[in-house]
Amino acid sequence: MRKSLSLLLMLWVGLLVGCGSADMGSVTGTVTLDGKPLAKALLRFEPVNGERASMGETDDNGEYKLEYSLQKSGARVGEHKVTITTAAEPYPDPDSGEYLPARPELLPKKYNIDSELRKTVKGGRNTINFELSSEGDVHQPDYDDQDQ
Amino acid sequence: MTAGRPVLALQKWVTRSYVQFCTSWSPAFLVSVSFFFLQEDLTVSKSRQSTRGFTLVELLVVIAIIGILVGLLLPAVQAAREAARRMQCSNNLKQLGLAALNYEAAHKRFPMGHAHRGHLDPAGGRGGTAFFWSALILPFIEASNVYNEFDFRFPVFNNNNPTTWGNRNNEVCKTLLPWARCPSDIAPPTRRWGGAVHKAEIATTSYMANGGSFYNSLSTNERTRADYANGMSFRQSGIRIADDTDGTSNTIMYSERTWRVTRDSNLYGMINQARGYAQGRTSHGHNQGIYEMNPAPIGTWGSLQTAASSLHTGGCNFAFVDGSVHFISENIHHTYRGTKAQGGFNGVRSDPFDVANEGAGYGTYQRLWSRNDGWTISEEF
Repeated sequence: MRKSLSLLLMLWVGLLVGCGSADMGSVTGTVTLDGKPLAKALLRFEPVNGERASMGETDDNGEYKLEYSLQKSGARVGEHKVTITTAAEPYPDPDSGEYLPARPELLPKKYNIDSELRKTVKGGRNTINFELSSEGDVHQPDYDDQDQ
Repeated sequence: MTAGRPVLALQKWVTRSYVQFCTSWSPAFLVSVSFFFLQEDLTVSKSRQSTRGFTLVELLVVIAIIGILVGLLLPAVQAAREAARRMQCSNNLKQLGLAALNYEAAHKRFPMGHAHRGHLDPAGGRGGTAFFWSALILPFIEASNVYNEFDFRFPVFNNNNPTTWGNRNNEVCKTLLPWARCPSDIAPPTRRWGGAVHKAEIATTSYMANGGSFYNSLSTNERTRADYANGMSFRQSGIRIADDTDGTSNTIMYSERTWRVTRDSNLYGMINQARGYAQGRTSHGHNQGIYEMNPAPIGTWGSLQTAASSLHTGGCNFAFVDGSVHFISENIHHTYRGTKAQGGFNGVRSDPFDVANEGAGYGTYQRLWSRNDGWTISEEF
């Protein structure tokens, strides 16, 4: 009896240990621009060691959650270079087929093209908030040759 | 142990625990089982009765073992089914790869990616019948009957006024072909496009041609620049096998795209009457190497529509120009160069292949998409 009990406990501990993933962490947070929540901003976390990047998009409350791939969320553990942009090219809406207008870039270059944002993701849950200011040069993409 | 209410409650509790286990909450179930052992140890040892039949402990142990076995078996069955679907998918890609090679043998060119000339405005660079490569290879993949039904003088379909021209093509476009769908994909059989009144209905597909490794590599208007049109198929393309200077075993020909990421994929062709006919919709039949494989469906659709994606676990199937099919992990080395809308993050557009750094910033994945980058592929893929 004691033997089978300890056996079961060992199995249970083994199962619990097997559940954790060490090299990924979940990341959520809020993005604000001049104190107001920023909607539809696209965040990209690129690990500085060249591993696969994660992306997230803010909702109307400025909240985002990072997605790693089609079937996994979160981001690689370690230091990341972060780029944030609000620009989007015109593209036909998948449901109606009508072209959606291009969205302008609201954020200065220092957050996207020349980003110096560096954030560290740890294992487990991370909350990483961004308080951005609109001061600085803005790079506005042009879509003259946009004909994908 | 006395019969009656405690046993009834126990039975209920055991059933509940079992259900919880089956919904993959096994640790909690095992805790409760081990807890029970403890209780049994204390109570049974005091008043041991010898009756025939199973004791509660034996029953629980059997249930626990069955639960563990089921818990192990169910994912295995799912994985086996997915493996079979992946095999079917790679077979489809093999057929497509061979069809492209047979097309090349007959025409000395790989099939045109997107027909941009002919019909309406041939001089102005706009217009075109907008047939994809997937319509042109039909005779080489045992679909001559569908090919012969198409009227190639007219656009692939007309979603504004089907009664004037192209109405026959509108009907042919609904034809479903078994090799055009990956069994794991969730795309509907056909896709509706067009205005509120007349909607054209086109069969969907899971397979896309290699449209190059850069953001604008599908267009023809800047072909002189090295960072454009380096794929095997693009708008009005006519790539010879000699143009694939990287070697046919190092260049992707066809790849997958799942409906979950993009919600657009067309067999036969894609046209857009409002924005210059063939122009602007080449991406509905081509993938590009600019984005990582299997992206999560976030951001604008335009920013990830051309990424190779599938619902297979951890990667995608690829047909190469030499006809071989490989399953490549989604964690393959990839360097992101950014779209124009995203400001070209990391993008050194004047030096697209990163020649100055000996190609360090040009990932293995992009090297597979590009037919003429000149870099070696050191990583096993």
